[in-house]
Amino acid sequence: MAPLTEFGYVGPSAGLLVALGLGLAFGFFLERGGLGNAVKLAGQFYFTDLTVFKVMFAAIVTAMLGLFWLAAAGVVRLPLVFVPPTFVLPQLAGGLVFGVGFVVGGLCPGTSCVSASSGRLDGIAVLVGMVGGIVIFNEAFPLIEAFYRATPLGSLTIPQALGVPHGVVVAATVAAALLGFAAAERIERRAVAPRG
Amino acid sequence: MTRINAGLAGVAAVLGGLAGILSLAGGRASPLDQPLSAVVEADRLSALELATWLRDRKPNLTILDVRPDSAAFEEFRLPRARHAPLAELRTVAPEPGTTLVVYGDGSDLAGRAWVVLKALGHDTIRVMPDGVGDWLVAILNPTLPSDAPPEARDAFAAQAELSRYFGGLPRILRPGERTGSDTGRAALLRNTVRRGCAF
Repeated sequence: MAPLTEFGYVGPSAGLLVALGLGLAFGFFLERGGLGNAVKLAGQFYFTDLTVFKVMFAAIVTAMLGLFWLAAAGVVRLPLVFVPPTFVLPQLAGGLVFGVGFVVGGLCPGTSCVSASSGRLDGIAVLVGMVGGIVIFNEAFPLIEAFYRATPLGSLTIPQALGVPHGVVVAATVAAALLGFAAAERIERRAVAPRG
Repeated sequence: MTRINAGLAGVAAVLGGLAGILSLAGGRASPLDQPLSAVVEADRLSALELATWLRDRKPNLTILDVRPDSAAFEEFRLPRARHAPLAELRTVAPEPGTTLVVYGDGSDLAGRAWVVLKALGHDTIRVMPDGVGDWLVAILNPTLPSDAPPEARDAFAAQAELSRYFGGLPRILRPGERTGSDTGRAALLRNTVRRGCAF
């Protein structure tokens, strides 16, 4: 039965090892998908290469379907799955900072690690900037703590927020993903087609 | 799109569609449809109810303190409680006819313990959502405003009797004095002396 840590099958130390294994696998597949290349990631913003969109949406749909059906089969107990709490304004601000950093650096946190580990200088530069940002954030935390904890909504899920059954949200997300994949393929084909 | 991609998209479409149909067909509501507090609402237990059970020697009653910190458990625990952090609940074997009561620190710990115990096959589980704090305020340090109506005074008399049984200090507040729940549970815990009925 899962989550394994909640049921005591995996202790805190073993949990960290599992996280390390998952992180390595995540990085490996990001690299194999070409997401360690900032040029490829930047293509997202020019609508010439939508690999990031497809990879991330595929990951969301895979996890969503996996959790739904494993819960339906009684393997995973969904109330025990950690849901990060929502803080509306700080998370909006964080998303904005993240987006600006992504556009400027061409990489996001995960892909910057992948890029740096494969020896790319731009990846190393983004990684150094990210670590610097983490240090500054922690040192400045007492100054921004009030904002950090502002507008809390608790651990909120989409079905709870919208009052819609969980399975309907899963179905709608899958439908949106499949339509998005088809649209992305069409946009990419148009981008590489010779103009004349 | 490769053939593999098309196949995976087809599988996702089928699984997603079935998920929607299953939910709309009125099948079992998913726990994600409502917060954990609502899931365990039907099995909620107050400190007063538990105290009554303890005083009346309710048979086959097991009380589990699911706080992870054993030092906190050693410092203060409810009568007859045994320490069983979430990760150790697997060691609590289900026994027919037993009523399990779980409490924590007032966070969602007790609710999560309820989910784990249900999954492990326990039938009768009651949850004290406010945990130790509920016991400290309602049993060990119950208070009544000085201007409380007669019905509240009658109810408080019964609560006060229960409180004294467990060594509590029921009090009628002076006009303008703050209630016990406002005085800080940490302070209540520091001032708590184990006395009265011992289990």
